[in-house]
Amino acid sequence: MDVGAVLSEQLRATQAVAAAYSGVPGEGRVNAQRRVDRLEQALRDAGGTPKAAPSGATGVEAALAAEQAALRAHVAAVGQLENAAYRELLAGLITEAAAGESALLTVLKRPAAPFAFPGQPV
Amino acid sequence: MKPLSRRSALRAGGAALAASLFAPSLARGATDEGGLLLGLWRREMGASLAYDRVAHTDPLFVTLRGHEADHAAAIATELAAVGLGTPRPPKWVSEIDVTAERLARSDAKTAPAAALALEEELVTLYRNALTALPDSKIAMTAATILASHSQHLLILQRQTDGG
Repeated sequence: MDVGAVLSEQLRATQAVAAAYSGVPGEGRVNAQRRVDRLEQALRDAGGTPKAAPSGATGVEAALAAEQAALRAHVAAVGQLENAAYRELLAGLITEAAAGESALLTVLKRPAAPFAFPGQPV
Repeated sequence: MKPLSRRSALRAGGAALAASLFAPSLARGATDEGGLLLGLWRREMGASLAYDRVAHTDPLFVTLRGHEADHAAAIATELAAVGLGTPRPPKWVSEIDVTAERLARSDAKTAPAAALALEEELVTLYRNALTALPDSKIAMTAATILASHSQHLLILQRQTDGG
């Protein structure tokens, strides 16, 4: 398993979340940036080099799509990384991405917990 | 020595699970995957039963009751995958863990705080369980359930904060 590649994918997905929150009121962007910082550190510790953040759509709908994509990536990574330290990192990311998704669904006046298994592969 | 009652034995089992997951570095080595799954199944069944008892106080609890039952069913599938059967589901509040029992015995005024405490505990349990589940498919199932409890927690935090 290429740990660096898995962490890079998590970082790319979370950078997209942070970028999508641009202009969205609330703590979402700050929270996502903290996740980016943790992933950059983990990637460096694994011998990798963080790449620049991707650009994309911004706003509540874009942030929701990005949180959902990041959550799916984190859940998939749990199946790829068995090391306890990485699992701990992923558990934190999953907790925050799932909460972020719910908060955005609330803003959009949709059910905040529509599924019993959020982040499941589609 | 006085023999353990069924209730005491159930409580002791739940306490052992909680102890192993709240202090994973101490007990992880002694925790096998099947035992961990059994503990999580019991907690989900307990949560579902508790939400059932307070479902008349808030429509949210109807949704959460269904989610916890779905989680228990998914864990039962993983139990079968490791060669274990599904235990008899709890019927009575006296058979479930203390935190779920507190919710089950709450009223409309105290239920949101009791549900919040339950979901906080479940998030912690699953966060720790993720580091102790070697099988990738089982771990991914636990990861999606962790995500679900994280969402329940956020909703209840906002409800109890009034926000």
